[in-house]
Amino acid sequence: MPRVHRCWLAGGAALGVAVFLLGYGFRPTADTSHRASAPPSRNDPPDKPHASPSRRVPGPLRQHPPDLPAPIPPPYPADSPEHQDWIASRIADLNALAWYDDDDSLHRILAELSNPLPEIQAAALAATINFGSRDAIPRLEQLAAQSRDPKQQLALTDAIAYLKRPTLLEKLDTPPESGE
Amino acid sequence: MWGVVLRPSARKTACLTIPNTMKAKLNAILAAGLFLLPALPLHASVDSILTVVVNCYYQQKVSTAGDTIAGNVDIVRIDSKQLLVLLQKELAVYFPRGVQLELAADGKVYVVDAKSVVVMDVSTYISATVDVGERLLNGQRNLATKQENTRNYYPITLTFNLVALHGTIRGIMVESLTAGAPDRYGFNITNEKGNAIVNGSGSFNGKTAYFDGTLNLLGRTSR
Repeated sequence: MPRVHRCWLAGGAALGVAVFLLGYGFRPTADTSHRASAPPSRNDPPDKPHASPSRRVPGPLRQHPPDLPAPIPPPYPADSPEHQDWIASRIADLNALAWYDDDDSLHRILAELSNPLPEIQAAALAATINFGSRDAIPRLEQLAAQSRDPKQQLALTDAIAYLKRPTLLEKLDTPPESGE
Repeated sequence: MWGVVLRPSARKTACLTIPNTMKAKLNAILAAGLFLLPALPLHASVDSILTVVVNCYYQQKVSTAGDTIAGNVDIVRIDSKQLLVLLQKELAVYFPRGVQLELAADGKVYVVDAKSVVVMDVSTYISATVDVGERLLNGQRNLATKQENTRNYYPITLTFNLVALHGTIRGIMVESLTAGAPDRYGFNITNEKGNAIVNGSGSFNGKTAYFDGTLNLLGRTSR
């Protein structure tokens, strides 16, 4: 093979690698290690490798706190039939986590508040409310401060206001004040 | 203390000892019952996980001084997990961790575990009325393939019948149902998501209370 052709081939290969890496966006791979300890769910997401890079929904970038696991990115392309099924499955998983009381479940829910998919974000917020812990308030406040979407801000502040209220059980456990 | 209770659809597996003479009568009654069964609605609803996010307003304090009356209204939040704890307290039962409230298509409410196995029927204490007959349907459903992409609107009522919490909340459930093409075994995966803004009245800890909030349904089943 002539030297010129070899140079062209090498250059093309280097360009291909560069395009692949840029297309992949140097995104960190999802930390799925915590899924092994997940509570049993009927709808565990499939353990398939990333079929192809998924599209991100444009929106303000959020800093992800280091103490929370990374949100699980969608493993399928947005236009594939598996994508909607995966979203439904993740929503069911988040809903199931909300019925537990442990920190791990709460952290996994809070992590998904910064998921790029709005459906997962909404499900994570609903799960946070259903989880019912005031430990979620700092993260919600942080996200409300970062958000530039007024609708999202309202949803987050409503959730904070709800969680700050005393619970039915707390009231039942509190002895009645005199004069009530 | 908690026991596994079978749902009506699964109760045929329960082991019963019935004398032969009674068996014949029972069969006759069951056969007669088949003719008396009302026609099932076209839409087979999905058993759904029920989440309750409700504010409860009640009069905390009222005082009178001369011509002035002063009062304080307290607001407490009620959610599904608190209802589960309240059920455990009032019924002196224990539920395993991760249990959920499930609303069956017939309006019965069950405590189920994470694998959807019924732990307890709590319909006596929390029950729903789902007016399927009054359902408004928007979208398309293929009766042959069972593929569906619809948004349904129907009235829903949830009633609390606990010692500390009594009352009824009502609203319109807006439910999205999607069912894909049948898989190779002929089953369709149906996803249901519903949300209702509700309000109502009742009592909290013996005091008149008003409620507002949301009821959410989430279901995923193969049918």
